[in-house]
Amino acid sequence: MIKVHSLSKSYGSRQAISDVSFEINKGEVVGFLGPNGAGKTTTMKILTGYMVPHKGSVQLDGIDILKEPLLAKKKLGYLPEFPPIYTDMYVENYLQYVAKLKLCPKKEIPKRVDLTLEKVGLKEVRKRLIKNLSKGFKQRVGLAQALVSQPEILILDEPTVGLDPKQVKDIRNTLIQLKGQHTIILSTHILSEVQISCDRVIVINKGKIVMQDSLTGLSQKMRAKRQIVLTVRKVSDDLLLKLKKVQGVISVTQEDRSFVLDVEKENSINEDLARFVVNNSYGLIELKEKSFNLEDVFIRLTEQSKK
Amino acid sequence: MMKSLLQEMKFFFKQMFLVAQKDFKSMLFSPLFFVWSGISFIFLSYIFPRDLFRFAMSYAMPVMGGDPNQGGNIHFNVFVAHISYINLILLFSIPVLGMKLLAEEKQNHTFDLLMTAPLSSFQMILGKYFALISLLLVFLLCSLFYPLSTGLFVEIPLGPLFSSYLGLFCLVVLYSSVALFASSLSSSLFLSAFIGMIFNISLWFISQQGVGDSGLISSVMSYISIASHLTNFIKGSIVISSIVFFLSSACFFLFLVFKSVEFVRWRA
Ligand SMILES: Nc1ncnc2c1ncn2[C@@H]1O[C@H](COP(=O)(O)OP(=O)(O)OP(=O)(O)O)[C@@H](O)[C@H]1O
Ligand SMILES: [Mg+2]
Repeated sequence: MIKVHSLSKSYGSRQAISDVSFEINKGEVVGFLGPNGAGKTTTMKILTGYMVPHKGSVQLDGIDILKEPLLAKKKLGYLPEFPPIYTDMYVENYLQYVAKLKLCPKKEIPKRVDLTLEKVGLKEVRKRLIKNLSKGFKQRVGLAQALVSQPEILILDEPTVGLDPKQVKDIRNTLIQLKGQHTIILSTHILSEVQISCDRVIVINKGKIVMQDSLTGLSQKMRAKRQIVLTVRKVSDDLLLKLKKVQGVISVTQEDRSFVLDVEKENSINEDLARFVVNNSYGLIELKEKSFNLEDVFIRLTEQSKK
Repeated sequence: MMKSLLQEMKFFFKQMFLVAQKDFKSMLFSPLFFVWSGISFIFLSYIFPRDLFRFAMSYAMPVMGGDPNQGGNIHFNVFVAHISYINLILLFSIPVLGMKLLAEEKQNHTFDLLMTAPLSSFQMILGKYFALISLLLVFLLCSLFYPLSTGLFVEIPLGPLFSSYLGLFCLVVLYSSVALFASSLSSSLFLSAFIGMIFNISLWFISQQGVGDSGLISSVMSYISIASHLTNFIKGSIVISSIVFFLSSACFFLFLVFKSVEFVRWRA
């Protein structure tokens, strides 16, 4: 459905993305994961025909966006980083306008607007001025404008950023319900968001694709290594050496009173460590499994790709 | 072949008018337009009767009037002043009325919507341009009420009046393209209004230089002088080259708008 072939784009001398290629099949929901400044928005702007790449090509359902932009854009629904809403319009009129702009058949417009309002939960505010809606509802209006033309391809740029947890949940539920109706690309810098709503993930960092994998593949890679953080009250010089000798510990690094331990995957290690610290009365403050944030994933993934 | 061409044209105008209609409405019902037209009409309602009264006084005492041919002409004594006030209003207010057309779209990020909709930049620009022109056409038609209403009491020369209004319309065509260009340059409303005014004023200044020169330069200068073209219209003659001048300058600025919008696609 979407074929992207070695895209490159730079802003002046700053290379935003380089040699980005991927393919997405019909009906897939793909997470486009990357930290701030990775080039997610840039890639999406090229996919939607907003920007022209310096190199590479994009095909949407077999249509080249650079050669036949009008045809390709008909197949698209796009929610940019900031919802593109006219604040002086009423929700309903705004959606009607977008539907016309996207060339929906005239007779179908009222029906599609109704359906879309239903899908994103905006029925009660359809006659309100967009200006007066809360941020969460503005974001929903933004999502609604992407959906109203019933496009085959949906491109969503950080659809849940800056919303409160309840709104985030609502939007995610809406996205889950959209599964199967559209081919969806969804950018985010939140790992759990991908885990909740996507089938597949493309990880991008510093303008390059670091990894493409199914969701199960991603979690396996993440679980390949385990780290434990141990904090104690009394630090003695030999503690570092002693910790290294504990069964199952691979390596230890010290940061002040905390120790980061690379450990083997067996489960009893937490217990063993706790017992060791308590028995030698080092004064256990905290013992926790280190959770991986996105940065760690990238570091790990780039390390792996070097090897 | 013929049929598909027709369909393509229909599609072109349909999308263009959709944009035009939306922008026209949003400008017409904005508080800015309301306040601005209120102030303009209060101003005209004060100035016009004042000029008319002065003219009536001098007409009643012909001794005081100088040129017997023009002294009694309501067109030159009253209407031309009215026309030049309107020109002044247009010069400063079109950049303000048109500032939102592209700058606000950028500010509100709705520009993304237009750029990713099945709509060419050309359709979008023309749509916005026609919206602004239509808005000012409404204003011009309303302002025509002042000179026409004097026709109830005295006989007025309709020919020069209408050709003058055609001249004003030509100015609208030019100023609007300048305003749209100014609006395409940034996402700041203030900046785009300011730049638009500067451009409009400079257009008038170019013409001032032409006066002293001679030969080719002088004829070029007088061709690009707005004042001399407007004078043609005010005198009651519709000169094709003047119309061509306004249309081609407007096209030039629209071309710049196109370049500026396309620049976003290429670099952003
Ligand atoms: N208009 C611009 N001019 C210059 N540089 C830009 C522009 N837009 C983006 N960049 C740069 O291009 C790179 C990629 O930016 P992009 O917005 O695509 O990242 P992103 O993945 O969407 O980040 P975020 O998570 O913050 O939205 C960044 O280094 C950014 O500084
Ligand atoms: Mg972004």
